[in-house]
Amino acid sequence: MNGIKHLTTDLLEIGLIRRLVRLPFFQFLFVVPSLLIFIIAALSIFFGVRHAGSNFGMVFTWVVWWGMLVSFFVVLGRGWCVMCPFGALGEWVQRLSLWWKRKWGLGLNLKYPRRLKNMWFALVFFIVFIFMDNGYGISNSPPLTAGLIVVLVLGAIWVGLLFERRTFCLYHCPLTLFIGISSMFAPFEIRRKDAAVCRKCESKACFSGSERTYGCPMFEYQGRGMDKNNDCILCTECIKSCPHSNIGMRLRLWGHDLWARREGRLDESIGAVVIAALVTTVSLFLVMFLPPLKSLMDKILPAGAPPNDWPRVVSISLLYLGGVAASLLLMYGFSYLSKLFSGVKDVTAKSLFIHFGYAAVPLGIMKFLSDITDHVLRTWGAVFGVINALLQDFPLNRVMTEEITVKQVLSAGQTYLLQTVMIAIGFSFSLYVAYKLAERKFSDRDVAFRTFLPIGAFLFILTMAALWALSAAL
Amino acid sequence: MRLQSSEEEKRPQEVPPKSGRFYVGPAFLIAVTVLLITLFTVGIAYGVQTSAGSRGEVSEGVLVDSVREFRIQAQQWYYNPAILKANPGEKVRFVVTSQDIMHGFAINELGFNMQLSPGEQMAHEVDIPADMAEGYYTMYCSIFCGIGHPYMKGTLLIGNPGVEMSKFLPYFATLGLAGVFIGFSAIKRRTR
Repeated sequence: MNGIKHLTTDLLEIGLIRRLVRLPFFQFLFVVPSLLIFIIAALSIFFGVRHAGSNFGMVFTWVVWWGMLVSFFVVLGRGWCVMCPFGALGEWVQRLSLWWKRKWGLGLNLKYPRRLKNMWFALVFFIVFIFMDNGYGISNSPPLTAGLIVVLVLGAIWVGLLFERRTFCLYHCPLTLFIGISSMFAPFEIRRKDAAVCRKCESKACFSGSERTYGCPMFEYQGRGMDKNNDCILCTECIKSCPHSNIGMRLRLWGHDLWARREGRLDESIGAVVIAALVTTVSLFLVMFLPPLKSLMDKILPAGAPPNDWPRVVSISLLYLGGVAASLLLMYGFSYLSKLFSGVKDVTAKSLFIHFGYAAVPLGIMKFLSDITDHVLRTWGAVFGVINALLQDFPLNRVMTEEITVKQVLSAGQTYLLQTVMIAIGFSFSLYVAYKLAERKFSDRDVAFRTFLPIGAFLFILTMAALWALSAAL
Repeated sequence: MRLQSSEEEKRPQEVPPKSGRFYVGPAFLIAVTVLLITLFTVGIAYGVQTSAGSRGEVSEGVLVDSVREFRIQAQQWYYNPAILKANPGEKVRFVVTSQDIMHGFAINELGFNMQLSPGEQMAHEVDIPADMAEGYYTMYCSIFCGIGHPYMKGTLLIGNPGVEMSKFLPYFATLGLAGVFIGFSAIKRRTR
């Protein structure tokens, strides 16, 4: 029984975990293996075979890493960030130390402009990143992936040198919006234990650091009461810094942050809908309209050599942006309907959009997971093939193997069933979150139910888009 | 089991409901909701079914020196033709060209995986075992190629397998998910 109690109260009451997270080099322990694998993958991408399916770095990055990143959302939140080599490189250069506290470093530690402390740039970076992947095939091209690595490394170091703490990770990483918002779904949190202790605390070491620690690199102040996982990279700096041992590590219900956070934000709400749109509406648009639209564009636009073949690039761009815009408009329309259904006079459609946008997150995450599951279940044998190829010319990976063998675990029908179950779980969670949000918005349960109905209908339509897009390939 | 959270006291205050001036009856609300999701669902299903069908008819390829040859274009995120037909015991040649970026062309049951570079034509011959069960086999892209990658699939018909039962799965899944929505709403309405 004590074990269960620890899980739901404070994991730090378990001695082994407490000692581990309080190690000064706790994060370093995770970064080192991650950095080593990253270096091998990067060498393979830079110097190895120019073929996405045979290059160890490409397969490792876009299948193994991407799958791990998305899987973390349903377990640990920003679990990837604790071991991310890009953020670590920026931090090491800024501090001129690997984990120990130094009074000075190379970073200028400028304040990041207050007006830019939001997710709008991150949203644009994310949309551009996904577009570049689809229009130009970053995940498909070793040279473009190499270019992305260079941009991320230089960006993390450059921003780390200019601005304080992990400004790059918080506002500039092209995946920070995706990782941050999706992490609200995780059944894991690091939070203060007793608000009264924080109110009396004068040192605020969880934020400012102490003689031996730096304080939160993501600008979170536990004393104010953290209400969501978005910016928590699980570095445990706050746990190590707190002089009152008042920071706990807990398991909780999935998706708790999505309804129990403070007031919603427009940038985050739009981000949540965009994340879900990418794997639902955008996918549906691409499945339904890409072939005819491309045929039309072939007649209008000049042909070019891939990846600058304009009919394809323009068609994908139009459908991609169209799918995102359609989802946002649909969400706004159903928010307006929700306002009408509620019967409440002084609530606006915009406020309901902001409030309920977060409900799309579970559906989006589960659809992302179902997509990667499909790929992994069909092609898992390829991982061994590329590792074998890498070992033949370690670490530059210049040997092209005869064939990369793929093996499947489940048949197409079985995989589709599994994917449907995952989508159903995501949809059910989204419905649950939407209802919790409705209950939170309106104390009258009748009004809450009426407000929930259109939002539930919107989530159902997104789910249908996801399901039927998958069925086209069945 | 209720999980503890020290942040519960920080939740914003609930907004009390205002006047019932805009009140509409529950039957009307349910009718509008049902109508909307039905329209969208039917539209989506019809759109996908017709667009998938428009990708081409069943191709039986051409016989070249007693080898059944299929010429296939691969592009984001479909194959053309997308439905091929061959018979057990035949030798089959797949000649595949990627029109845009790198793609794969794999059929796991036949044990091959072609890796296609942009603009480059690749060929692969395979013997279909005489005892291979008649049925629908999936050919798919084995190289991650973007957001539409999970949908880049086609079908290889072996023999005359009859009705493909998996085609009905999306309809059952739609009914199941509608059941989830209706069930959830009914429970919440009853417990108001």
